[in-house]
Amino acid sequence: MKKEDLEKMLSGIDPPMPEHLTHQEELKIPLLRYKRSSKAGLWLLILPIIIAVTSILKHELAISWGFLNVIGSLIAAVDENPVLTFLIPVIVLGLPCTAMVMNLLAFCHFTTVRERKELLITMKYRPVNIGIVLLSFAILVFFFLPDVLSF
Amino acid sequence: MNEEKLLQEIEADPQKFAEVYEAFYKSIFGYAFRRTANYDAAKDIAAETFLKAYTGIGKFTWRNISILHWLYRIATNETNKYFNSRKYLPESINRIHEEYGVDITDYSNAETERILLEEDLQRHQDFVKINELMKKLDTKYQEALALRFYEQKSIEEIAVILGKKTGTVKSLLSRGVDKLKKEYGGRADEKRRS
Repeated sequence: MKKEDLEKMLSGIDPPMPEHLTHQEELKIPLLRYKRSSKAGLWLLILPIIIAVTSILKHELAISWGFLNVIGSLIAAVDENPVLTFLIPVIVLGLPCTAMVMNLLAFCHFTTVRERKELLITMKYRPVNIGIVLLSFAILVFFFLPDVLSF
Repeated sequence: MNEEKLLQEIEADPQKFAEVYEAFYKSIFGYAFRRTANYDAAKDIAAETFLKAYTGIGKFTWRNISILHWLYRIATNETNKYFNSRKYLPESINRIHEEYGVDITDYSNAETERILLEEDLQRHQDFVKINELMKKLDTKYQEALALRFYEQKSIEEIAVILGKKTGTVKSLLSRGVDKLKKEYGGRADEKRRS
C-alpha cells in the first residue's frame, strides 16, 4: 500500500463517537468534593518536635551545641518574655492538638441515621494519618512529663 | 464559553469547574476510548484527567490556549502511561476511593453503557483494525496520529497539545504513517500466508 493511500484511508476513517455517557454524572460529585488528603498535620509537628528533641539532647544526653542552646535559652525566657509566654504553649500544646484533630477527621467519618437514632463512626485504614495522630499524642504526653521544659 | 473569565470564576469558586467538566468530558472520554478501544481504561483515564485538571487548575495560566487543549495534554499523558506501564495506576482515583468510599472503577453500574459502546466499537471495523496496528507503535507516534486522524486536530493544535513545534509534529506524523504502513503491510503478508 502506498503511503498516500494509507493517509487517505486514515483521513477518511470513521472512529466511534460515544454519546450520552450515563457514567459522567457518577464522577462529578466526588470530583468536586475532592481535596488532596491532608498531611498538613505533619508540618504542624515540626516545631514541637524540635523542642522535644532539644529537651532530650540537652537533658538526657547533656549535649551542648549552638542551635540547641539557642532553643533552650528561648524556652528558658518564657516567663520573662510575654510573646514567648503566649507562643510556647501554643507550640507545645496547640500545634500537636491541631495536628491530632485534623488527622483524626481524615480517617474518622461521622454519619447520623435519624430513623434509628444512631451515630455511625467509620474509621478508615489510613496509616499516614493514624501515624500522625499517634505522634501528636506522644508529643503531648512527652510535654506533660515533669521537668521536660526546664532549661 | 469565555474561558479566561471562567478560569477567574473557578479561582474564586472551585465548584465552577463543573462547567469545564460538563463542556469537555465527552470529548476527553471519547479521545481516551478511541485510543485505548477499552471502556474501562477510557473511564479511568478520563476520570484521572479531570481530577488532575481540577487540582491543577490553579497552575493553569491563561495564554490563549484552550482549556480543552490542556485537557487533551493531560489525557494524552495518562493514555501514554496506560500503554507504557504493565498496570495503569490512576493515583487520584484511588485517593477518591479512600476518602469518600466511592469506587469509580466499579463498573457494575455502567454495564449497559459499556456493552453499548463496545458493540458500537465493533461496527467501526476499519477503525478497529487501524487502531490495533497503531497500538504497536511508539506512543509518540500514536499520540500524534490519534490527534490528527481520530480527533481531527490541525498540526498547530497538535503542537499546542503536545507542547512540541509544528515541524516536530509534521515529522512525527510522517514517520508515524511510515511505520503504520509497515505494520499494515506486515499484517497483509501474514493474511496472505495463512
